[in-house]
Amino acid sequence: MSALIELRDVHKRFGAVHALRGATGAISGRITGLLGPNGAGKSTLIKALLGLVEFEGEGTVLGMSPKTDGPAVRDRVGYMPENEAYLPGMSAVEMCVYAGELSGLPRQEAMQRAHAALYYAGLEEKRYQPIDGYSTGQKQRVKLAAALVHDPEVLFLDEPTNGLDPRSREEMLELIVDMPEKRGCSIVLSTHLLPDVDRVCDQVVIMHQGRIRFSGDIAKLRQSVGGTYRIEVKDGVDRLVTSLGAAGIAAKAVSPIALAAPLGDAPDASIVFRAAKDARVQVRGFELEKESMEAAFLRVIGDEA
Amino acid sequence: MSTGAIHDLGYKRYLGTRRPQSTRWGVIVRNTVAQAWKTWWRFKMALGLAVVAAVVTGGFIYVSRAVAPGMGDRVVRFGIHGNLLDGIIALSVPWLCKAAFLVGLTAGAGTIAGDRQVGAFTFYFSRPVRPIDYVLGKFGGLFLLQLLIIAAPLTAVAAFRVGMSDSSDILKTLPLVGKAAITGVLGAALYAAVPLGLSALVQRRRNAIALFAVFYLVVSNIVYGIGIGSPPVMAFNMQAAVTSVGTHLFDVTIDPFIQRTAPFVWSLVAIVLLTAGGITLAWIQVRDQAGHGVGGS
Amino acid sequence: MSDGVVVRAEKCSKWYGHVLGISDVSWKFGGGIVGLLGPNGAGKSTLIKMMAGLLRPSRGTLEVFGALPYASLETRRRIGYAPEHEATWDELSALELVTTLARLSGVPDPRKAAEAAIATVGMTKDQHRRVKGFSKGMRQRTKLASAIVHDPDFVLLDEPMTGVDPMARLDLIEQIRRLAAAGKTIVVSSHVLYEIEALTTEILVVYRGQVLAEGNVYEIRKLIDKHPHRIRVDCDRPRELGAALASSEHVARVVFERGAMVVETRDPDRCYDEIAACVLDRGVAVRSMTSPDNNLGAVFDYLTGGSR
Repeated sequence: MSALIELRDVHKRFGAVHALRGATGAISGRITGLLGPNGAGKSTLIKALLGLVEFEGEGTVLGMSPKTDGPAVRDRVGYMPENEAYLPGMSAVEMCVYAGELSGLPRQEAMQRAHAALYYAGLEEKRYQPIDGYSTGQKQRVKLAAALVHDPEVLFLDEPTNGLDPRSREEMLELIVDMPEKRGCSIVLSTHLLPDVDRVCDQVVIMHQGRIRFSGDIAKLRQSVGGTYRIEVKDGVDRLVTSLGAAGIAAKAVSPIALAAPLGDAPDASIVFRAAKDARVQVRGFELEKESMEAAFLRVIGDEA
Repeated sequence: MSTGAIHDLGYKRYLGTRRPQSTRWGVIVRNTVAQAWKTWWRFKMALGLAVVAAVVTGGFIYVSRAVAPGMGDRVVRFGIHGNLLDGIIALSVPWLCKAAFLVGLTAGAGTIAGDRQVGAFTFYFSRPVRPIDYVLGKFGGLFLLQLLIIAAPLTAVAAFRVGMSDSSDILKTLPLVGKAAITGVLGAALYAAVPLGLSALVQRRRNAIALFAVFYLVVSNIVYGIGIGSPPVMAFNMQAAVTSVGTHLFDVTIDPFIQRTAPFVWSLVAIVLLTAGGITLAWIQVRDQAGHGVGGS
Repeated sequence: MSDGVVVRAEKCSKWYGHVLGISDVSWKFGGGIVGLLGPNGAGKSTLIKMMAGLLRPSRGTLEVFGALPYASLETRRRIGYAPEHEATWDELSALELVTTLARLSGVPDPRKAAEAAIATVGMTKDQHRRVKGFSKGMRQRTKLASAIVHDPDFVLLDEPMTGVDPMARLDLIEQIRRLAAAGKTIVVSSHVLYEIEALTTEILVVYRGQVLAEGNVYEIRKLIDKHPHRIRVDCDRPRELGAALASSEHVARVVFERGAMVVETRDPDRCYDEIAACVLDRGVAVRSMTSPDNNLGAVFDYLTGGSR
């Protein structure tokens, strides 16, 4: 199956600034996270893929070239912007119908799909009122609905949980997770929030200084920290360290209620429980330590070419 | 035997065709007009002014015809050389221009700057809309609005005038309607393009409106003043240009102490230049800024 | 500063005409870092502004360092506030901006203090660039520098890490920890719960204008009876383990997923002991044991009425 988005040696200069320096990679997952520090070239890359800036090198989106067929690409690709992007004086329904028509849908079709998209985004009640009076969470939902109206095959989401309180953030993430099944579109999620990426994405693209440093499964990103387990206890960390030491395991305390123990890849957990019983310590957590998203991210960024 | 069914309300892909790219600007035209029509105190107020001007002119025509038939002769009256009734129509043009200025101020000058300010550019250009679609769409919408302000009342009054003339004269006076329409169309294009172009120059909506107001009220008056000395320059005053087209087409001359008239050919040139200039200016500015909000800060 | 309490609110309410800010809030806080949480519109910003001395209570009192912040210039000098929305002077450079604010606060050597504050937030490299061209992350750091330039004892941060990239975020968290270690009291308000989790275990939850919960997040978790603790054990014989536990009084529910057992218990202490006993007595091979809802996200959710 060919990738949704392919890039080969893409360069883009803005005067003296070399924003994209030979970006090469492919995106083919259901939900792909797009990460990178500020200045890495993420926003330039998105502009390039949507056909809004010229660039050198090769890039295809859904098999089309954004350089020559920008509007055709945008016919089938949706974009939910990070910034405010609304038309004053219009209601959510009007804006979504407008969005649909601008993407080439006939009016009737646009009206039907606008309502469907607004229902999906959870904006049933307020959708006839002017957007000017909406809360932040509602504005985000309108932006999402407007990006979905024209039935895109790929949807770019730019910081979709910005400004949302924990409940709304949760709801937005749930919507995102469901979208590939329920709306039949693949998602590229551009965000700074690593835990969000961890939660919803199956693939990740990490950019740094205009190049793509990593592109692939999220599982491949995080290197195993070699069979180290994190053991949480109610209290008495030091007692357990000693007890494990007596059993031949060199454990180390990492917090007042947790320690790290190198147990190998398929260990016998009962060793730990026995050592805990001997030390009269209550075990409350037992888990293979994975490299955290942050550590993986920093590792990828840190390896300079 | 009875049956039951549960329908799948799930998502259905859109498998139909999409309208061709060239029709997108029409969507923007419709939207521009619909938005202007919404609040009653902007566009509709200007429309009211235009209607009043038309009604007053029509009333004058009616009274003149009813009270003094035979006015159709070429006489000099009230400073109008030529047919008085035709001249009255021509004199209504400045009033219609004032209404058009109001529309340009409220619906025209603020559009592009306002869009840029609230982030509507991101909305438009992350979709299959090209800068040219956007500009033509905005221009088209404003043009339609200005047609309602200038061309429609003018043509209506001209039609009324034709209707009020003696049956023997009807064929002679019929072209008046066409002439009124032409004047209206030129005026509408001019008053749509210029505020649009100026709107594209400035970042903030308020500043754009101020810019157009300054341009129209201050700069144009200076141009008018210079034009008293050298008439071709006067053609670049928007109101003077449109009025002079009207007076020329209606075959009347108006004494300078009532109203100075710019030369006809120069007026046409000015209208074309300013209109084309406005649209081009808007297009260049929008093209440069189209991708702005996309991709985040 | 009396009896170690930094902030003391006593039946404090704030109304804007008909609009409710906060209602009848009584709270005291002694030091360290506290996370301020709550849905939008719950009253977080109102509370922060009152602590910063920008708003007076409609009723009741709110004291900082034993004095009324809106009335006492001395007290306000000891408070630093980084609001959520900034309207800065874009044309200035970062250094100029922070220096100006330092001067306004009456700091003796404004430029040196500004340079020090900027160094603390790691912006020394870019301090001469205009704020206009800054990314969101750089703006946030400049804002933090402005809030600490006059070396306040009490720092209020409203959404300090919105839009900040992961590297800068780790850095900022480190900065905030360092400030707290240096003895400052810090209130951080954020919607991003894992940021708060990385900083502190002390929280204040505001809901519908009132204080819904306060204190240590794990202690609060214990108090939430309605939602029993969930413990998830991935092992080779989940059903056997589940059956062994099911007979205990404190177990509310046992659910099975592929290769795992999730037990909901009203007495986690006893449950953990019983699990350990099962593992050893029956030789169950455990792959992992986790408690999915013993974190801030779950606590917040339970408190504000969501269901998981």
